Formats: sequence, structure tokens, C-alpha cells
Amino acid sequence: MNRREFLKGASLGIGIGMLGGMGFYSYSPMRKAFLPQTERKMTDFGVCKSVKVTNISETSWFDNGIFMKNVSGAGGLLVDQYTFNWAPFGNGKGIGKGSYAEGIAKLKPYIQKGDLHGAWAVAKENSVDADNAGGYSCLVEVEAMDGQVTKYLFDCGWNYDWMEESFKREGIDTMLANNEIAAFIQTHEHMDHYWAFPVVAKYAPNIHIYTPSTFYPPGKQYIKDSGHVGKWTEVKKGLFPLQPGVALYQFECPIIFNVYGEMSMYCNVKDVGLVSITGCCHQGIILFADTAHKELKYEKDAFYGLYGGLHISPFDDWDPKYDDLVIGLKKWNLQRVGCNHCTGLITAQKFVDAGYPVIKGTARFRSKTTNYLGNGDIITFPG
Amino acid sequence: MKLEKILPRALGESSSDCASIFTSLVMAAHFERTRARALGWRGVRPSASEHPSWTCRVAGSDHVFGIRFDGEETDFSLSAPCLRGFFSLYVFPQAESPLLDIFPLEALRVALSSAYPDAVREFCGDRPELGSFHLGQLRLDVSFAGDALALTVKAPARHRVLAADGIPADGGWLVKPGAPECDVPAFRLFLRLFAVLAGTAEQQLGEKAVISRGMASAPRLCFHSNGRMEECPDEQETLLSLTAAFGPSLAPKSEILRLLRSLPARYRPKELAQRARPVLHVLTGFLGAGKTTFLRRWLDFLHGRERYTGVIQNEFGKVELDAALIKGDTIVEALDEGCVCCSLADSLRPGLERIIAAMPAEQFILETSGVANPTNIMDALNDLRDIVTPGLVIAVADALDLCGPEQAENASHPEEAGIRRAQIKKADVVILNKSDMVSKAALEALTARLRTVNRKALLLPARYGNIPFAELDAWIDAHEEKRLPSHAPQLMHISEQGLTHAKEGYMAQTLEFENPVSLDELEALLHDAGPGLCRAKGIISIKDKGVCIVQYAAGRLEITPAFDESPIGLALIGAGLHVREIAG
Repeated sequence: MNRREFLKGASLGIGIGMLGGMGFYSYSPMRKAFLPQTERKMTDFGVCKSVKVTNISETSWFDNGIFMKNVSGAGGLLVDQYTFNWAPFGNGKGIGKGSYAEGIAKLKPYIQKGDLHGAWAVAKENSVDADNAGGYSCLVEVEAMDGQVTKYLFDCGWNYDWMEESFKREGIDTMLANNEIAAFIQTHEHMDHYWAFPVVAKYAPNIHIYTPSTFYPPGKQYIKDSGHVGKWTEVKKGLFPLQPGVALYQFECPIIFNVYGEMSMYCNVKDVGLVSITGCCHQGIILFADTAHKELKYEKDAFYGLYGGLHISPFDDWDPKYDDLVIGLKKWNLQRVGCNHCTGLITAQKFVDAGYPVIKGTARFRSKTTNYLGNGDIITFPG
Repeated sequence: MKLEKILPRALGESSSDCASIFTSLVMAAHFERTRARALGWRGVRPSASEHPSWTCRVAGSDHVFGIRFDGEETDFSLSAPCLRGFFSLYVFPQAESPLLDIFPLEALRVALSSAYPDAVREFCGDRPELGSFHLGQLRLDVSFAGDALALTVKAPARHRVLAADGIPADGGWLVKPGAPECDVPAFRLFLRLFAVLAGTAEQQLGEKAVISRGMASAPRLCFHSNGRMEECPDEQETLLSLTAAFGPSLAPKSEILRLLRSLPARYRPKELAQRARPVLHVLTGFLGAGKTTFLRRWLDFLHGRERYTGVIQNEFGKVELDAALIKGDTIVEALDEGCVCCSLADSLRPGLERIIAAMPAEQFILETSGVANPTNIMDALNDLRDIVTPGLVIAVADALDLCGPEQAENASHPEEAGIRRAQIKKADVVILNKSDMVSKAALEALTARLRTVNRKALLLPARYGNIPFAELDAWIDAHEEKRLPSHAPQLMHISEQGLTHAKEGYMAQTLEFENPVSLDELEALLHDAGPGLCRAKGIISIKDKGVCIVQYAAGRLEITPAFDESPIGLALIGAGLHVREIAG
């Protein structure tokens, strides 16, 4: 008798007892080092009352064609971002031939004077396509259970001029100067999220900053070269609580352009659920959501909201029909989504078409679609 | 060997450092898709982070592999202390695979259940019912000094569990008493996976691995019908191991290793995977079928995965609407010298050279004009093999249009029918766009009809040009060993050769308007152009609406406001057009 036929018979009741008797065994001679831990860890990191995110800028670069031309021209995705000759670290030698040391040497005199417009003007002369640079940055305001509001600046963008203008538009410059912002969180070292750091340091040289512990030497040096003198916390892999209901999570993952590690922020909003704020989510939204599910305890066990750039996964899926962000996010049943930045204009449109709760923006200040929570737009959790 | 090439920090920061190293190794290999594929990766899905796990496929194997990080321990017994991370290895064959007939009966039972595909997709090592697929172990050793790393796979040569009392069936025996209930060549199943992992480590570390093999034994078990399991007194399982080591040896003292000259089952990529030249895909489709919509969605998919792609567009008619629509999305090279299929030799090569110089991307897409005859194009593409590798030929077809009454006979526009037919006939993939606008029965009938024209192509129904885009990659993969239909050498039917649009009666006429046009005027103009009008498109000012994108195809007029655009005119394309001026 063939095994498949035998099992068909077994499923009808014949031999079930015997199959059970033989023990559904899962013996493996290999399993001896460790037994799998199966339960969800569900770390309790407290609750907060509400979260408000103001999009300062999500337009990292303005023309994707120019950006792609830069990337392929410099040698591709494995090339170190500091050697692209992107502004501000240009040395005038052309695409792919830059270095942090040569670039910063030209800028330092201006940064030290606080003349960032002058610094960017020099950068423009020596870099490729400086005007294509924009930046990613947002302001996160967390309301604690007692009503007290704590502000976090989340990334700082790329282009000094653009970010200065964007900060002014949202009043961030004043907030920084008045020490109203509790901390600056640098999600990862990518140029479009990080290279306008001197604009932050100019207004608040004392601000407490958080970065992943895995910045490369130029990235670490840039903090000092920008004039920052405050506290600097390097966040290691895993969960890092900031205040009740708010935590960073550092994902150790290599990222294109020779960057390593990205932090995301999780907020546990009382009676509502988990709100996640991402920079680019290079670790992939699937892993990001899975991690929250397995590691964190959150209200109503519900994934309530999401803000930021959404990369689906750094990998091709082995099953082509699942290689789609819309499908990937479906199981989490999100209630409020503010997407932008690297999500993709069409993907955002597909979210809308698929009936996702996408909070529409106003497509102002060079944001390209109302499907994005665009520059100058605000999203609140709960809505 | 420098660990910092993989993990830029010192060890000891967490209790899962080996998982971080493994993640980094696999993830960095995937920055560039072509590189990952040349290493033999065929898709990875990660899950969780405290006890991370992955499912993946590799070239040359039909199975899905499961890998789960179990934990790590420090070994101080060597002169240089090291970390040893342990990963469980699982093999999930497809339910119909004959391999399952020699797996444990319990594995076959699980594989035949409807829950199996989902259980494999959601694999994170915590489902006891998947235990019988757990057949091996991976170990990652790394020195604290960061100067040595080794990967070791270990699995039984033949994994057998004896059924002491046998398994009776139908008055006879399914398994005779004392015979093995399963007999899995476990070690062999992991060889390809291990070769891909070892090759990945070699690439990241920039050095060749030292390969060695080892042998050990473990007690063989037998089970009784009451569920009791015990060790067989006189039989052992032979455990084979294979190690790829970088830097000083980290092998435990108890392991006796024999050096091998090369890595068994190393993946050797075929031409398409290791291509030195960029791939050129060709996008065809009749006027108004939705080529540009499809293209924009495909680009969004590709660019979201950092697979940068340049586009070469060819417009029949002077209005470069398509280029305007994807402006800012990517680099576009517009060829405007008539239709690419007629004057290809003259314009395509310099156009390709320009775009490759501007953006040396891994692939390009040639969007042909809607009236392009692919027969002419395929011929010319063969002459471009020195600068590009031919990729997929994709035809976008308008399901609504093809299901219409006129199409059934093709009588009224024989020349148009000829081009449509040629586009479908020469395609590797046919996108049936607007399939949501026809009934299920009509779509089935259309599919059957298209099958008679092209029986080899992949047919994908689409709405707004959306398909599961990874299916295109999977289709290329499926042809790794055999030619794509469009790559087959072909004899052209005499009637297919050299038809130009002038001969076919096609013309394009571009209208520019000084003042905004009313909606009524626009509709009248399209109506008066006559039944030969196939397509109209452009950006014009419309009264009370401002600047709008105008698209007309298959009798449907679409007008979309375009805030940022300036009017560029309106192009009418078709045969025997009657175009009148609109009074200023």
C-alpha cells in the first residue's frame, strides 16, 4: 500500500489510533543544543495617551531619475555614501570620488561660524546634483498619561538649505533653540536622514541625541564636527525604552550605501494600540511588524497606526505572489496609516485602492501626492 | 578575515550575536538582486528577531528551507575564545514531491494537509507539527577577536527511525516490524543551501573558505506502537558535517576534519544571472491598452526594491505624454523618430547607448509605440546583443477592447488586427489589462482565444496595470534552463515582414490649441475623426478644468487634472483620420 493512500485512509478514521500511538514523533538526532522557545516575549513598556507626528520633510530627493543616475554612476548600491561626492561632502573630483575628510574640511569653517547657507553653497560647487537633495525629518509629540507632552525630533534631513527652510516652516528652529525638544533621534546613518545634522546642532548644540551603536567612523565624527556638545546615547540591538509607552528598537541590519542598523519607534497608546514610526524601515515591514508582535506587549493587542517610509523587505520573497507590500501588511489590520518617503507613489495608491485607512495629505511643499502624509502635514494617534 | 566586514561592532553586546552575523551575511548579499541570484539565492523571508528564523529557496532545489536561530554559547576551551551559534535546519518539500514518501509518515501527513503551505510561510520554529521536517543543524563559530569565522552544516547521512512493531495496513504491512519508518538522505538535502551560504560568506569576507568534512555518529532510535521510543542497541545514525572556515580554525577539539579541495554543490550561475550586459525588456501593446500605466506600476515595484531601471520610450506622434507621465520617476530616453519598429536600426542603438552611459543600470525597458510591430523589433534586438541581453517581451492587451464585438471578427480593421495579433504572438508575457471590466466568462473565452495565438506565454489578468510583479521574475527563472519563447529563432511569415506604418495606413496627427478647449468641442473632435481613430492622448487646457491629461482609447475618454504640467498638445493616432481644426 502506498503511503499517501494509507494516510487518506487514516484521515477517514482507519488507523488514526495507530498513528497516534506511534507518536507523532518529531525526533531529530540534531535537536540537542537548545529547545525552541515558542512563547511571545511581550515586554511591557508602559502606555502613553496620544501621539502626534508633524511631517517636516519626507522628500529625500526631488527627482528619482537624477538620484538613480548618481547611484548607478558611482558604482551601485554597495558604494559607501561618503564617497559619492554628494553634497555636502563634495571635493570637486566628480561622482564616486569623494571622501568625508575632504568634504568636511571645506565645510568646517562655515559650520563653525553657523553659516550653513554658506556651507551648502560651497558644497554645491564641489558636489554632484546638490539641488536634488531634500531630506526626511519629523517631529513626534508624545502626550503622557498625565497630559505632559514630550517632543522628539526624528531624523534631520539632508540639504542644509531645504531643512533650514522646512524647520522654519514648522517652527522647529525655535523649539530647538528654546530647548523644547527633549531629544533628537537619528534612525540610521543614510544621507537623506542624517546629513543636515549641523542644522540641529546650530540651534541646539546641547540636545540629547540617540543613534544606533553601529554608526561608521565618519558618521560618528560628523556629530562632533557639526558642533554637537550634548549627551549622546548609542542604542544597542533590541528594545530601548525612552519613557512610559515610548521605546526605540534597534534592528541590526546592513543597509545599502554602507550603512548599518536602523532604529524605529514604538508607542503604546492607551486603549488604542501600538503606533509605529519609521525612518525607512530597511529591516523590512514584515520583520518590523513581526518583531513588535513577538517582543512587545501593547494595548488591545492591536497594531493601530503607522507613520513613515515603508520598505517591504530587503529580500525577494521565495513565493512571488506574496512579494507585495499591500498583501504583506494586510494581516495586521492597521487603523491609521500615514505613509510617504520611500513607500512609493504607486504603492500608496494601491493602499488607497485596497481600502487601507490611509490618512491623506495636502501635497504641499513639493510632496507629490495626497496619498502621502506630505510635507507640513500632521497625523495624530488616535485620530 | 575581518568580522567587521559583516558586523561593525564588537561581539558580546547581545545574546544573539550569531543571529546578527547570519542576518547581516544574508541581507548584505541581497543589496543587489543580480548578485544575490548569482550566489544562488532564490528568495528569503525573515521572521521575528529574538529567536530569528528564515525561510528561503536556493537555486537547483525545489524545497523551501527553514532556518531557526536556537541560541549561542561561549567556548573558552580553545586558545582563542569563540562564540558558537546554533541554528535548526528544516526541509519542506512540496506536497507532491516524491521525496516526502521517504520522510517520516508524520511529515507526509502534515504536508498533505491544507494548512501546510501557510505553516511553512509562517515558519518560525515554534510549530511542533513541523518537527519531523527538522533534519539538520547549522553552526556558526566566530572568534571574539573577529579574525575567524566558520559555518558548519551537520545532518544524518540517512535519517532512519525504526518501527519496532511495524505499521499494519490492509491486512499487510505499510512498514514491516523492525524496518525503518523513514529513510531521509538529510545531509544531501542541505548541500545546496550550505553551498549558497558558504559562497555568500566568501563574497562578503573577500576570501576563499577552507572546506573540510567530518563524521560522527548518534544513536538510532526505534519506536513502539505504544509511543515509547528507545535507542537501537546495534545501529547508529551516521552524522556528516561540512565546514567552510575563514581564518584560524575554531573547530572543537572533539571534531576530526578532513580537508576537501572544493565546496560540494557550489552554484554556477548561468548566462542570464552572471550577465555582464544590462537586460532589455520590451513592452508592447496596442494603442491605449495601458502600457504606461503598467510601466509606472512596474517601476514602482522595481524602485521600491532598489532595482533601478531606465526607460526608453518611443512615441508615434510628437506629443511626449508618456515621457511626461513618468518624469521624475526614472531616467527616460525618448526616441521621437517615428515608430521604433520602422526606423529601429537608426534610433534605438544610439538611444540605448545614451541611456546606458547616463545610468549604467542592470535593466532597461523599451516601451514601444502602440502600433509597433514586434516582429520588426525582435529582429533588430538580435543585432544589439553586444550592448544588451534580451529580456522579456511583454504585451499589454486591453481585455475590454479584445472582448468587444468588432474584435471577434477582426474584419473592419485587418491591419490593426494584424499588429495586435503579432504583439500577442511574439510575447513572453501577456498582461490582460482592464480584466475587471469584462465578465468572468468573457475573460475565460478571451484567455482561450489568446492561447490559440500564443500557447507558451504567461497570461496575467490585471486591473489598472497591477499584477504580482514578482511573477515576471519567476517567469524568467522558470526559463533558466530553456529559452524564453521570444528568444527562439523564428522564421518570419512573408506577410509579417517589413510592414511599415505608412503601408499599414497609420498616421499620427498632432493638434496644438491656443485657447482652452471645451469638453463638447473635444468630444466632437474625437467623434469626427472617424472610426479609424485608435488613440488620442496629450496634455491640453480644458475650459473650466485647467490643464488636463487627456487619454482616449477604445471609445473611452479620460480626463485627469494635471496641476504641474504645461499643455503640450493632443496627438490623434489611427488610420484614415479626419481631423478638423477647432476655432481658436
